Amino acid sequence: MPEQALTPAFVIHTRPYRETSLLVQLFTLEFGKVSAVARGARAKRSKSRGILQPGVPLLVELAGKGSLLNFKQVEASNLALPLFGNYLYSALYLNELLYYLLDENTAYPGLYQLYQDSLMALAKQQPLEACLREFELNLIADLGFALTEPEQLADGVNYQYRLDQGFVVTSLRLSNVIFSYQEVLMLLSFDPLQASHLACAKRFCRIAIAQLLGGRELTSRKLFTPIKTTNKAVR
Amino acid sequence: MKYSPSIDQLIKSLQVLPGVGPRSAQRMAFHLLERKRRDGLQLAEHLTKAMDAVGHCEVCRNFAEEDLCPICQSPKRTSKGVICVVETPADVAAIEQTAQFYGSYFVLMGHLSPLDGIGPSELHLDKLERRLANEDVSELILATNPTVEGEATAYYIADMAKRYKVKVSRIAHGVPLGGELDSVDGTTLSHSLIGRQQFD
Repeated sequence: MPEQALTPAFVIHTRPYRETSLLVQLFTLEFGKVSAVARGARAKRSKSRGILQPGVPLLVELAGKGSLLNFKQVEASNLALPLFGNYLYSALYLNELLYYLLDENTAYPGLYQLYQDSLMALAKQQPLEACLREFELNLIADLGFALTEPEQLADGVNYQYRLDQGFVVTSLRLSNVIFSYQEVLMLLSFDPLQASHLACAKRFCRIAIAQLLGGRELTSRKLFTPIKTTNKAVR
Repeated sequence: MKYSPSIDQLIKSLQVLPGVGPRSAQRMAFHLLERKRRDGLQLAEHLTKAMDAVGHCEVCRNFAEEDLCPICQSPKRTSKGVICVVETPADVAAIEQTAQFYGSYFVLMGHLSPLDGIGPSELHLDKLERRLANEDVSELILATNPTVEGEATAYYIADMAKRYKVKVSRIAHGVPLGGELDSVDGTTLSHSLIGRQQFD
């Protein structure tokens, strides 16, 4: 039997399955997002227990047909990336995006590479906003909604973003929904080193991702803000 | 095979227990019906009673039948000013068994897990914040699991405690006793090297 090569992967999410197993959502280089059962992974003496965690670079061999695969082999190719505080929450945010937005069993090799680079950047505590915006913009493009120049691009015209149509001319005046001519140009030539680009991309990504999610709210965003206490006696 | 409706319902109900599938549920049901009628009735009675009476402690969120759990009722435990944050009631039992901890607890009943829809409010962290604000807390021990979600939960709570200038500590993780270094995963081993202690 020819030896099958191991494919690089990251865990997006796990949940308990049966008594001692785990149901694992993986983002793999070769097959994209897949679900697989790790039998016995929650058993006391399981070796894969510590490595089937988000943020651990893995090498996996998967077997099976249909939508639910089995692990034939799993090993960590490196130590878990050290993620702390907001950088850790950001990694969970990236995972939430992948979980809800990627199609199953579709390879996204470019995005996989970027995901890996982004996790490394988060582990090295590089500028958070630049890392997140770069990932979001690439994700939106890889899902088939790459930004294109609007048909009528002229100074003084305002635009609104629609997933299916791209930038369309609008007469709306709501400043948080519309993009100016200059802002559209910024997004088309996004430069993560410029603060004005980052601010504009943040607003754009919010709008585009909200449309992609179709009304679903992301829980990981709540981690970035302190909890609101209902008790008035407390500050 | 088809059973009478009552037996069928009993077998189905027993399957809510973890690790119990149709076969074991059938075995349990027949065992109760054949030999343990009285115990079966008692089980039903205790189940009803527990499901009705057991709620959450108002202070620590652990399971309790009264407003406060036995630990939160004990002035000896609450006067220490040390709170240990754990994920589940089973973790409280595990720490109690070590007999090394004399403070009080806060039981999250889970951990932050965005993909399961569990955010700060689902863990009732506002209750913990109120304790930090109103009680005289000298130390908050974070004993959430050493998983990615457990770590995220720990960071979130640590941030909260810092706003109230409360000292925060995290339980150590490393090589298990009686274990062999060779069989410990790299991440755990690197944690235990980073967190090494002076030996004299």
